[in-house]
Amino acid sequence: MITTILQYELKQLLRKRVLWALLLFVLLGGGYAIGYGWLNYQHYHAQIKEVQQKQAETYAELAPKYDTLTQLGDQAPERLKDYGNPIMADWWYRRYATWSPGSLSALAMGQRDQQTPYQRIQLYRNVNLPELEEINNPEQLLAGNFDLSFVLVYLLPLLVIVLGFNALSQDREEGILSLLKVQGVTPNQLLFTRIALQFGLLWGLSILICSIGFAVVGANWAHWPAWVLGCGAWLLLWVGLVAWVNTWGRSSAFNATVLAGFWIVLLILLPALINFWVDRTYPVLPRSEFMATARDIDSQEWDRPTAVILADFQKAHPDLYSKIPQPIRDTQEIKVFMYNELSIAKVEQLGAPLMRTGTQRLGLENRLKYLNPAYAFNTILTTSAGTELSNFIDWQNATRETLKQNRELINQVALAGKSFKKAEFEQLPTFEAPPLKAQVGGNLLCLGLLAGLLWLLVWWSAQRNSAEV
Amino acid sequence: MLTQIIQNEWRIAWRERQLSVLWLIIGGLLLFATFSGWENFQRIHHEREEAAQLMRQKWENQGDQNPHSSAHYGTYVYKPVSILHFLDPGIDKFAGVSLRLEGHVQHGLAFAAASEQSSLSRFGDLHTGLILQVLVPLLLIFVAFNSFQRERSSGALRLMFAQGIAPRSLLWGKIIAVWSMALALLLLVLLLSGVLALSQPQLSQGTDVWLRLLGMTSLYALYYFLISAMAVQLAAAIRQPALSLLSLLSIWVLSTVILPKVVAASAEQQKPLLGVMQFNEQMHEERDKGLNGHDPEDERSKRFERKILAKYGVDSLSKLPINYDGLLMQEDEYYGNAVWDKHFGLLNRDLRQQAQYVAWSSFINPFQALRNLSLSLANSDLYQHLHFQKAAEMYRRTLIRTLNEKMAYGGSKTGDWDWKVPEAWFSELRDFDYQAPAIARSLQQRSLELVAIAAWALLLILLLWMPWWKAERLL
Repeated sequence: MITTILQYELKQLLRKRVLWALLLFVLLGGGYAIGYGWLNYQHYHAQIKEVQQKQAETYAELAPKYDTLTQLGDQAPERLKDYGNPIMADWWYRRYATWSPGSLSALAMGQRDQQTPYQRIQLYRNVNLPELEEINNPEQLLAGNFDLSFVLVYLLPLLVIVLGFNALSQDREEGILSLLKVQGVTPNQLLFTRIALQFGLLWGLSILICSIGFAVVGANWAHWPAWVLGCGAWLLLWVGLVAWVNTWGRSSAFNATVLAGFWIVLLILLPALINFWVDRTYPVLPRSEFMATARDIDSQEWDRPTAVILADFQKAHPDLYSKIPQPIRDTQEIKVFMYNELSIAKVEQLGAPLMRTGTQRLGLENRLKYLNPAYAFNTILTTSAGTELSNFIDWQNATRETLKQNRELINQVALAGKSFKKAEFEQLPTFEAPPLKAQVGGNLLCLGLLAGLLWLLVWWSAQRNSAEV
Repeated sequence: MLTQIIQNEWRIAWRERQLSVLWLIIGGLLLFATFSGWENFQRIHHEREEAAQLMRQKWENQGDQNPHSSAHYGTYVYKPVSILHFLDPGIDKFAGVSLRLEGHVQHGLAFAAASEQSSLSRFGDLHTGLILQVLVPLLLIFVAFNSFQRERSSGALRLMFAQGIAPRSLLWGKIIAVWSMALALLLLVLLLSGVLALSQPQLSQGTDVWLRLLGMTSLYALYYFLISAMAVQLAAAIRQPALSLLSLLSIWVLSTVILPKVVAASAEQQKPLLGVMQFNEQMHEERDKGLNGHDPEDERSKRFERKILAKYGVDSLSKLPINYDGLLMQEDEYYGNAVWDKHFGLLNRDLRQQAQYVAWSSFINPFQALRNLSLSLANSDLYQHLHFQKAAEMYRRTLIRTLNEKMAYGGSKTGDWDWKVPEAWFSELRDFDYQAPAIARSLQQRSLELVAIAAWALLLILLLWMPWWKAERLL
């Protein structure tokens, strides 16, 4: 019987003009989203490439100079000797830490457009004190991006609602349901078959769109299963809601009203309320006051007498201190490095709460994901694309590590009273991107559990209301 | 008769439990959002005010200082939030809030709150504007979609026409009834906002705030009229309530969720903005071509040097009665200002063109007009942001020029970098006092949206006068 219903329903479904119109709409929307995302990514990627190219060009320009400097030693011309100065070597070799999520970010832009994707690797830099702030149109940021993740998170559920809101009610309103009952088809059989069919169709459609998207932007296919499973779980939740509302035995208009309500609650109200909760619990700390205090720390640190700086440095870095040759210990040149190291340590300590807030906010959002399935699904897409705040924080941490390595190397050379030669130049650290941490398992589990609970409710409601339906 | 129709519609809506519950939920959400928005506004306002005071304090207590060191030390200015931020915070969290002002360098506005938030923030914030723009229209749709179906199925419609009610009067009655339900919610917000604004008399002084509040209320009232008129006419034209609801919901999704994103995305594609690194490099390059205050060997600075020496009739810098360094640095500032004017001018032109592109879409999507005008009336839009940026830059120029002139003519000689000015002198320099644009200026920049929303209202009224609204069509 189920097979007969399935075949019949498939025929009926395919005959629906509204279905074809909707499929066209979703395909067009998906196509537009992929195209827009791709163009946006190209623009972004070109900027990152330019920065990376700049780094490569500086390297190519400097490397021969250090070769000559090493070969000639003290015989090198004065002009070249400047390159041996550790501060100058660090200054001239322009290195950058770049945040460059892969091409999958064309499909899920996440927070990529909000962040400044480069930070200069240099002795005086601090990850908390970004030198550059990306140029954006804030009204465009407010409107949000029309990328594939938007289509999947927002528009796919609408398609589920439009296809399923009258899965049973229409037959009842047209008087067909009682006729079908006579033929031995139960309303529940009919409802579940239709819902299963719609689920299959829409999941197939989302797999198709995702696959086209992955192929067009040349994304890493290792993330494809996460996207496909995420879409499946997200759809399972929505078809569950549609089935549940249909089991209540009310009119099509009523069902459409309630399902539209669910859409608003799950995609607008709940995320907004949780956002409000998170904002109140861990408000974003004002960064400019930190910047101003950092500025004061810096100048106060510099104004201290060399002897005091020397004593503090000895306490904080006894090993490094012991390597400073006696004759140069209290010179201005050496003071620069010690002051910088002490100042950065203080500024980092001051900036620690700023760095912590982001992680704390993410932690709370993660704990609340069971109340916020739309965000759970979105997180699967954005973290696998590497465009979530968590990915950015990983990048910031890796940048801080590179900055630290850079200071260590320069301090080692400078405090020992040595100058830069080829070997030291080659050792100047360059940034390496941290491994991508996609948060898929936990969020899939969350969506799966919510969908499972909902389907239990559907089953219970279907049993309870079968007579009325 | 019209009054009776309106009363009847209200009675029906009130009797329908779902609708009255929905109305109460949205009303409750509006109250909650308005109060929490007010609290949020106060927090941000105090935070920025305190930060600005702190910066001023730091500036005044910098000790005896060389004016040029002071120019490097610089200060920070903060974008103040308009009092109507609590109704529509607009771009506030997506745009930078503070600007560092110092010599030689012109920074951009930095530290947007959204850059420290996850993509949850992109789902939107719960504020009064969101409810008024997104949820109230939805409530009107739910009220209106089957407003004819009830009377059709019960035969009451036939009876009404038999009693001589004109079809157009019926339509108007229903539209006004649906509209008045939204106006009741709007009145609630207006009263509450008025009371809250009055509780901060120093912020709500003058007529501007009240005109803006009045403007916002009129704007939303007009938009709700559009929604009511459209929903009732569609409900009258489509016989099946489910289809009527689906059509209205599709229009709602398209106009509030999809089109604003699509239009913003294509505006961005039309006029892509430069990356900050490319932008800064172009500026640096052009500035380097000019005078460099720290590079006296530069050709241009030599020319300037010759000019100054000739002016004072001496043959070396040491013989000048003034400090040449101050003059040279100010000359470099002038060049830097010209570079800023050029590059920020181009950037702002691109941003304005993007905004204009989006504004034109108001003619196909009245929601866009509503949103842009709401941002503008709340003084939380792009234009106000650019206005602040310009005001801060003008202040920076005056401040740095004063410092450079003090360096030049204050009594020191060329090369005297250790010369200091007493701390009290720095306190005498004027603090930054930003005046946001008045309502007339805000609306002038949104004239396209104003025309569009008025055109939409006219169109919907015209549709009501069309000859096809006959009794037999409605039955």
